[in-house]
This record gives sequence, structure tokens and C-alpha cells, in this order.
Amino acid sequence: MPNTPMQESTYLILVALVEAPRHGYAILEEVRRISAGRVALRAGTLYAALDRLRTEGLVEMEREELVQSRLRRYYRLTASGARRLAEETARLRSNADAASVRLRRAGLLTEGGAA
Amino acid sequence: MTLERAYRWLLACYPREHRRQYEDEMIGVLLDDAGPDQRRPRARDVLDLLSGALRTHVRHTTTRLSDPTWRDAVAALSLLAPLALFAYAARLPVLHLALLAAGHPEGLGDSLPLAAKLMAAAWLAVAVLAAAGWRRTAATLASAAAAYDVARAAGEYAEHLSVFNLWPTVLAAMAAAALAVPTSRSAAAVITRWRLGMLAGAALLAATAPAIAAVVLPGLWTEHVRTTWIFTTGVGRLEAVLLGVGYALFALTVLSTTAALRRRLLALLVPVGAILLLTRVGIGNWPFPERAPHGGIPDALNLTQWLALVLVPVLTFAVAVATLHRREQP
Repeated sequence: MPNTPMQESTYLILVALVEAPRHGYAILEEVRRISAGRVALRAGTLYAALDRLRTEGLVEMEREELVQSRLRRYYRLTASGARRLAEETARLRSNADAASVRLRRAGLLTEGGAA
Repeated sequence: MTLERAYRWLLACYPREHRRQYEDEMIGVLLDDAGPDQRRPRARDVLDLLSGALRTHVRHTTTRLSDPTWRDAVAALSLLAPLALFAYAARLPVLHLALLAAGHPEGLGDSLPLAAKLMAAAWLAVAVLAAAGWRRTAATLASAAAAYDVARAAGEYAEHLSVFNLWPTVLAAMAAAALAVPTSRSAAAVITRWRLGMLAGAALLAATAPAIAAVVLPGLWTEHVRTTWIFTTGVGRLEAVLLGVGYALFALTVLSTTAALRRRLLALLVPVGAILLLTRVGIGNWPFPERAPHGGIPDALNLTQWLALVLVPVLTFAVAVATLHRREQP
């Protein structure tokens, strides 16, 4: 069965974990950075997504530590998570390419951006 | 109240397993993300935590309800409910036939509408189709029968402002919904052979109780019990005993299943019990069934009473499911 399209927040959480394992707060900051501040995840959304991603086997816990008496758990992408992210990226790219071709053909998009 | 304590209050809205897994970690993230002089949770954090709690509850519940034992319970209900509804709907048509056979040319006469006979036939057909594994056809027929029962209940309210007989409507809707859920095993495979026999006996006894009391054994225990007898009213003593045995056989069928299946079946039947209690007994001094009569017709239901009729079955089911899962947690 084909995978259903991912929500943007879920996609960005997976992207945030590509280069290195990160703890919760670091994921929030990385998602803000990746989206240039457009997506500001909060703890409720993040942990609902992390719980689901762990259940689906796309993300796993790497280690935990105590920093200033606060618990930090580091999460990393699993092989299955990386594959799913690559598939979703290909799907988004395909859609974006199709949109660009049509916009360019209609004269609504120049090389620098919208006409 | 400190900021951390305020966040812990909000996190109390999450399911227990989620809290056990993530609470301390989430507190850390929330405090890391808070401003240096922040004393109270920000409105957007409150909204985010509450919506996260709701999503997590829905996801956990959905995951649990899709386990194989729940599917078995739904399969069993999709046979139990149509059989119970058949037994309830067939009482008067069977009595009518028994009267005709006993030489009463009119039978029950005009007091037995055609729809009553059709409903009995429809629920029997649904039960047979469900037992045979033809769930899709059974679901279509059950949906039509349930829609008819909704119209019947609406008609009773429009005519007499009565909500006395709402339990068949709730059970009919549940039967239709149960049949629409895909299950891995058929109802007959879940209930197994000897329980199927007991269930058939229970349905037969409940359906024929008025006919046995009025036609087969007319001289026995003739005094009427005028009070409500669980699902029916105004029954003779012999009829009450026969119905009681039928109900006991139904109950025994459910109670003799495995513990996990039994708990789920009972949870699924909770909304029917709740609506039965609500419409027949009322809650304490709350004047639900005792609506003031004017010329023999009670007051129309007020908004609270309507809300109770809708919410109580749903909430009691939610509580039953939550209690069951909490009890089964390792």
C-alpha cells in the first residue's frame, strides 16, 4: 500500500534528525532553522509526532542524559525512517517539478521566481 | 504556582502511558523553550498541549480498538445484537401466529402493524447473514432496519413525547456499526458452536414467551406484573419468568467467553445499559423519567435531557473502554 503524504511538521522533524541525533528542544530549534522560522513547533505537537514516529519505527531513542536536572532523550532516524523520508522528498520534488513546468509553460514563472 | 507545576497540570491531560514515557522530557523542553521571566504557560503552549493530549488519546484509543480481541468482540456483537433485536421484535408477530393457530381468527388484529413483522424478519435475516459471514449484506440490511428504528423512536417522541423505548434504537445502530467494521473471524467462529446453540435458545425463548404464556399455558400464573420487566413492560408472571430465562441465557453466552473477550463485549453493551437506565429509571432525584404530565403527556425534553441522551451512552462507553485498558495494563 502506498504511504500517505506526510504532514509538514512530521517531515521537518525527520529532516531535523538526518545529520545527527537530537533531543526534543534541539529538534524544535532545528525545525525553526530549516523552515527559516516559518514552522514553530511546540512541545505538544513534537511529542505527539515523536510518539507516533517511534511506534511506526521511523525514529528511535539513542540515549538519555540529565542536564541541569532535566531529562534529555536523544532521537535518531532509523533506516526505515530515512527510506520513508527519501520517498516523501521524491514525491514532494516530483510535485514541485510538475508545478514549476506548468507555471513556466504558462509564463507565470521566470527563472528568478514568479512572473 | 511555579511554571513547572503549571505544565505538569496540563500534562495530566495526556494518557498515563504517554506521561510515563515523556512527561519529564516534555517538562524539560517546555522549560528550555520558556522565556527567562516567564511565570505562566503561554496561551499557544496551552492550546498546543491540549490539542496534543487530545490527538494522543484518539491515537492510543484507535490503536487499542484495532487489536484482534476487540475485532472478535465486534464480530460477536454483530450476531448478539441482531438476535436480541429479533427476539424483541418477534414477540408480537409470534403471539399473533400462535393466536391464529389456536383458533382465534383475528389474532392480534389491527394492533400488529406490518412493519413489526418486517422488522422481526429483517433482524432474523441480519443474524443469519452475520453468522454465515455475509457481513456486507448484513450491514446494509441492518442499516435499513436501524434507520427504520430511528424513525419509529422519532415518531413515538412526536406523538407521545416518549423516549421510553430508545434502547432498541441504540442497539440497532450499534449492530449496523459493528457489521460495518471488518473483522478477521466470523461471528460464529468467535462465539463457537455450543454458545451459538445457547444464543439461539435464548432468542427463541424470548421471542415466544408471550405466545407460550398466552396460548400454550394460558392457565398458569395469569396475574400481570405491571412494572417494567427490564426490556419490556406489562408482562404476565409466566412471561416474565420465560423472558428472565432467555435473558439469563443471553448473559451466560457473554459471560462464558474468555476474560478478554467478555470484558470487551460488556464494554460494547454499556451504552445500551446506560440508555436503558436513563430512560427507565433515571438518575437519583434528577427528574428525567418523571417529567410533569399535562393531560397524560409529559413535558418535552429540555436541552440538558437531550444532551444526556446523546452524551451518556458515549461517555459511559469511553469510561468502560478506559477502565478496561487500565485494568489490562501490565
